[in-house]
Amino acid sequence: MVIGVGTEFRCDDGAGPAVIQRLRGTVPASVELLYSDGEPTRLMETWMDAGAAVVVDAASGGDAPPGTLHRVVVGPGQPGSAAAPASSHGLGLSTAIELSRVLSRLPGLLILHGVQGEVFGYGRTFSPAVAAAIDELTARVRADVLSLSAS
Amino acid sequence: MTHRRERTLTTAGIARVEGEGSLYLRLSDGHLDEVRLNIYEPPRFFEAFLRGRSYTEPPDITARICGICPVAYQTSSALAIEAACGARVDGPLASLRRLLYCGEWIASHSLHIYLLHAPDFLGYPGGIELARDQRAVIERGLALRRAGNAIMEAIGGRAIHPVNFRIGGFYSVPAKEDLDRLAGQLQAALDDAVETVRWVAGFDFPDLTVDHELLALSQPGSYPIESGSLVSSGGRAFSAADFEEHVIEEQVPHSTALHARLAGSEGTYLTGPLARYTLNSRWLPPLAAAAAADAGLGDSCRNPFRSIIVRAVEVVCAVEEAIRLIEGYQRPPLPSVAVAPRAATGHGVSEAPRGVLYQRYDLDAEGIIVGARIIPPTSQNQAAIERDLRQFVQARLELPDEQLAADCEHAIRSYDPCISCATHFLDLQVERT
Repeated sequence: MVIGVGTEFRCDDGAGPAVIQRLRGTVPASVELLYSDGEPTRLMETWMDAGAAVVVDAASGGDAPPGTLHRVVVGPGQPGSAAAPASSHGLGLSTAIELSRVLSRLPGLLILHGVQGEVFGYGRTFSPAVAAAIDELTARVRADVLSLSAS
Repeated sequence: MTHRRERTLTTAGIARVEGEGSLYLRLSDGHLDEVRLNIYEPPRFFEAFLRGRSYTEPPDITARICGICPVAYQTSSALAIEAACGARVDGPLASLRRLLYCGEWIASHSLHIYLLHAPDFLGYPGGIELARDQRAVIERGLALRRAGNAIMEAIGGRAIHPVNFRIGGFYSVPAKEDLDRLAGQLQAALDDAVETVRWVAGFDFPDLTVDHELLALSQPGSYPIESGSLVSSGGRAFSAADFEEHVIEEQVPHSTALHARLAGSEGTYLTGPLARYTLNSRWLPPLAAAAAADAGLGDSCRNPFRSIIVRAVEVVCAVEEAIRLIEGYQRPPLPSVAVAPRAATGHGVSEAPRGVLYQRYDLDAEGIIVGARIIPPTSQNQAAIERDLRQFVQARLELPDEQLAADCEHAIRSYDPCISCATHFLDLQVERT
């Protein structure tokens, strides 16, 4: 499954859902394409029974320039919050990962894709840096999905 | 000559608050000079976004304002538009809306109680640490939340931004057996909910009594959730149509959110669990009333920290109501009533988990939205929260910054501010001179 985290009404926060839209028709029909607002318990219960899950979210914080693409593979033993880019959601991805780890509800494989966001105010347009990075982000997610589907 | 020194503390953000905003405290010479709670509020964006849209669209669009309480936004918008169009949804369709809303209350309150608020009372930094030490407790909270989500999925099609809700009712209505399947899960949830009240009633609560005027819906005969008229502890009683005559919103310099006050009063008012409970505790269903009594709540509750008990009682209420509504459910013959557009204005209110949520829509003859107003509970409560923080901080001026910041975060979380109804981060700044 692929989960796009974010809302299309918060500028760069809409990157995750935008990738989900772009993936439609380009990945095997057996791959679930889902949206999430990042609420951690729902994320956890969405991915807990999955063999593999790919999550796409906007990232905020840190020193990476806007538009930077991140990819992190989360294993059951490593602290996700230390390795993953900070989600743009206060109660979001990192909480979902840690809660899943504590409650043994991580999927078999969890891959996080993020794009460093710049603008998170209300609006429906991406910042130039994120707009320029969306196609490459989608391509990287698709490559992971196709690789996982083939294996 | 007074020796003056200035110190500023900024924390990276208040976790466990849904939304975004900031709190600024300025203290000097042992006195609290200023409290500013700044909330970045989305409804202005959505009000503009709705103009020019069809009268059929607000339930789907406003549901996107908040991932935690989409049903509240859908319900208030539908009530407003149906009122404008002279339509009324009642009988089994209205009951189905109440059932859907019960699901949202159960899910929202359970998340807040277990993962956001309880860790404050138990000395944990957050829900993850609580889960690590007390897994069974968190599993109970998650099971409760799942029960709420199951209701939303059965009626709304999905728990996040339900897609089956429409003006006039629903796109389709569940078969009786679809809802009967939830019975077992809800019976277990009822036990979990009662146990939750017992659990939170045993916490230690800081002393704080607030004297705001309290504003809530009233549905005589039942605890207000999906509809009703407005009443206040100051004796006000008015309908949704008169909301903007009684609730005055004013711009304040430090916030993009408007501050609300009640007309004819310079004082603050509060909406949400404390108000609902204090004004409607007599209408709680039997098990919820018994749980409240066992928890020592009495007829009213004016300590924001004890709102966690009220929320737990309201979870019992919502589960109890859900079971009753499912037992009495007969599939409506039609999933919706016809709603024809007309040039008119309509108003709708419902009790979001965080309090009264008001919406107004102005339609033209073709049903195009020419004006919209959305007043969420958090922005209504902003002035009251600031005033309570002033009282709270004044009694804790001698605390070191770190402890003061932690205590303020705890206090703010007591109001469950949906600051995405009003956030992503809440930054806290303390300035001492």
